[in-house]
Amino acid sequence: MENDKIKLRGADYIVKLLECLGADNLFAYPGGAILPIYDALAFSKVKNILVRHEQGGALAANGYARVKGKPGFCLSTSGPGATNMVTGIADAFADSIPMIAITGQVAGPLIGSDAFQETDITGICMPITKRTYIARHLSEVPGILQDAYLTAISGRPGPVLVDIPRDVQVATIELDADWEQHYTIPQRERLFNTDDEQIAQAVKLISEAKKPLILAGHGIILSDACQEFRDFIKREHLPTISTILGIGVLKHNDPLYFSWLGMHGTKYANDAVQQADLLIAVGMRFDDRITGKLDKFAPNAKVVHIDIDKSENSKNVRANVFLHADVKRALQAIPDTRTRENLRVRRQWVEHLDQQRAKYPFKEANHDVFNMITALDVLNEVMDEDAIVSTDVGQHQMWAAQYVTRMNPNRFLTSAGLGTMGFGLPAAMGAQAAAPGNQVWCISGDGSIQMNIQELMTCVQENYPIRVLILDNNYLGMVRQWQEQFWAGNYSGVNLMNPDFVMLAKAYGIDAVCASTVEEYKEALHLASNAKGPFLIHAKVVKEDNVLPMIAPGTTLSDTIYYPEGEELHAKQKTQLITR
Amino acid sequence: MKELHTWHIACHHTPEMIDRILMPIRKRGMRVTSLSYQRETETTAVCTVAFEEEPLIAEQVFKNMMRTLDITTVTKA
Repeated sequence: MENDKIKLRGADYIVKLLECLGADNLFAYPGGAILPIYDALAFSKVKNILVRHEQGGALAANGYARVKGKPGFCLSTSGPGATNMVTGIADAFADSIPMIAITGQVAGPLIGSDAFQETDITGICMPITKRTYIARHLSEVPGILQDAYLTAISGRPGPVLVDIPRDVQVATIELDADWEQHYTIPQRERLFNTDDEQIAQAVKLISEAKKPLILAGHGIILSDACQEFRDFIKREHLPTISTILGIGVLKHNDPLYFSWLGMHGTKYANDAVQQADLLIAVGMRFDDRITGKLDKFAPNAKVVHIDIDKSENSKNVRANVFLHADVKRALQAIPDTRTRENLRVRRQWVEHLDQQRAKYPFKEANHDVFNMITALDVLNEVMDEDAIVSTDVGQHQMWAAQYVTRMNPNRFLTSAGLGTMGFGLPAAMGAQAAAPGNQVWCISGDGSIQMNIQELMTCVQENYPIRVLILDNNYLGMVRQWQEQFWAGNYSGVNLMNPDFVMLAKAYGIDAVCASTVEEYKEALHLASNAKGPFLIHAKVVKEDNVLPMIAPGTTLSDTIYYPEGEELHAKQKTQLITR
Repeated sequence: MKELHTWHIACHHTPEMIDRILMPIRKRGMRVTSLSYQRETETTAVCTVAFEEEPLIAEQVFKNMMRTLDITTVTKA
């Protein structure tokens, strides 16, 4: 018997396909070349979030994907709408975030005619996506969207871009009435492209190591393998440090977690790398911000590297054993390596690291001075344990990573690879959409917040109760720090004249307060914690302060600069406070 | 010291394939000496690309190509 047939307009079909793929939130901005889809969205169950800038849309989808663990969707029109999404897409590519960006395009026959709002967005996005697609016919769209989804989540996740010309959106198609029942959400296959011999080699190295050290990366979170990882670490009694994107793979207070490494990571984590005789790198890529000078990185260590991306094999750091596999499967495949002897040795090594941790902690916040460290330390005390934190980029980002402690994965969202100023607020929106029941904090700087400040209005319209903390030092602080330290104090282009953020927030309809002292700030946090809607704190902190510890450019992890003597530091801060 | 690198690439036949093969070369400001691309089946193609570069940088290009999803294998001649 022949199936019943229905006829659908392209735009309606495309929106239904998005529904079938589980796109519950679509961060989007309309325009001419995407109008047919907007018409269809009006009748869809997809929540269409009207951002105020397409970059905000792409970064919100990015934040959504990080928290939800499934692809985020964003949508824009052609031309400037599409190019505005580029930074958000590049950010997702740098941090391996699954994301599906959909753009309208001028009608097929107009492509190449320099039509109004025509741009070669697939060409522009090729270097920052896993794949791009142009739908030339409506019949191709279901296959393209399924492939796009699968591509975004498979292997090393990342963004894809689907460009849909206007004529495809207004075409019609005849379908079986029950077509939706046969349209499925693709599932990723967990890659395991390694053999028993490689596993045996890895096991031998782990068993025999005297100072083994785990480097835990974002891949563990992306693989949804945190539980397996925690079980593995506990069983093997292996000390672990993480990358900044690996924050949350272990609880911050896990005795085997020795914080995060890198340019502004802990001295004891950096030293541990230099002392280790075996690095077990799990789902990470040896970014230059964590290795310092490459030829002096981990000079005594052999390397077992587990990663889903084969191109990471000895890309930056030579691996003695490379396990090309999904982290979850790789961890399941590694048998118990414990012996009485190596457990004794591991305990000694952990004891040594404990001593180092006690010797070189992040410095204690001085609550007599209202600087970023104090602000973040106090925030950390009052924040919900399962709150989601997003940051922008700069000094506040590094201090947030140091002082805001998280217990679970996907609770510290930050733009690590691309370092996108303007990430924080839209990413917080995505996080709030993905986890409506969680407290969400956006920690930003006076420079970063102004990159996407227009999204405050989206927060109001969508009633996202996001708490925005602006740590204002009237500077582009990280650039200023570098100019102080490495450019002879020649401050150039870093002095920020700022708006009155409280008045600005109120103009958007957001409750806001300003704090210039620790006492005022504590009161502000109390108000923010009890707010029912979005809330903004403008914290005027010490003007000049430097993020430490630090690996200066061109130096090694062994050269990590720790803090100067306490008294000198306090004196410097007090002077700066007075001169502000 | 620059050397001539000639690589045979097996890949999927997609609209963006040639661009993606060239991307790690182009993004370093390097020039391709020669390029041939031939569709083999409905979905696969082969490509031979040659360029002159120092071995260390050529290795970085190779790593970048290995990240490209639709490149199946790269064989160095």
